[in-house]
Amino acid sequence: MTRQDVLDGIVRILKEVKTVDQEALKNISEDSDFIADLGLPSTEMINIIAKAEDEFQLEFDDDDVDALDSKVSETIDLVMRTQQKK
Amino acid sequence: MTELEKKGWVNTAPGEILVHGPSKIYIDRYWWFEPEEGLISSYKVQPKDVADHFDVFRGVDIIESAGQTGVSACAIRESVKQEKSIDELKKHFRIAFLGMGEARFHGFVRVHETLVSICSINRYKFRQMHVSCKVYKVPADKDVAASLSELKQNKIVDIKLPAEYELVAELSDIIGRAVPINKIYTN
Repeated sequence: MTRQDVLDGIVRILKEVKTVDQEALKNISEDSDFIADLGLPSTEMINIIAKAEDEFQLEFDDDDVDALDSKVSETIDLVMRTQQKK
Repeated sequence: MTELEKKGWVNTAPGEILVHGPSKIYIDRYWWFEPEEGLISSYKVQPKDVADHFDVFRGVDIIESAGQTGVSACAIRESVKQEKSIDELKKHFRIAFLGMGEARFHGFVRVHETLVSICSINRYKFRQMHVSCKVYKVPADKDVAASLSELKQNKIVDIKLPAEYELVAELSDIIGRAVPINKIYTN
């Protein structure tokens, strides 16, 4: 799985989330911020991470999720890191 | 979790779980707790709570009481998960009331009436809990202990309330989260 694969998976998740700015989603990149750039409410972040677990069939540690900020790149890092541990 | 452990949580003083100062706590006690199901609390409205407000408890305070119940459920659940005491948990986390979906009010609550918040856990993941609460009021001359102290049900939907319990609010998607202290105090 490449970082682009993960980004594509995140886009699939975000397409189903009503609160996400779907126009802004067309320009998503690793540098995007879920909250500042895509309009995601901060309380939805946890739900996106939970959906990423399902999407990539992984299980994240609570401590790793605590450490995340709202940058897309950090979520990709988490997925890649957890994948490597499998 | 054993029945004894559940009873232990139910008998914990709200002030030990919540971080609010005593004048801002809108829970007198917990009555029922199931880690996968939810939490029930009550609060008898005091004269100080309705000052300058026509002897009526404000809607926002009904939300706060239910929110504190949801946050308490989150704290207890996280404490159980980490196998730590609440005091130990508080050293590392603030259990915060982060938000709420919709509030639908059906009535109001006067001084000396008792609020009963019945909060069902909808989701709990990564230290964040989502609950939905139904808030009832009980007349001032009725003792809620008579109907809440011996609940044996394991499922919240199986709990039947006496006729004098009147639904006053339905609150959806109350969100509580155990936030690491180092994520709050970043300056």
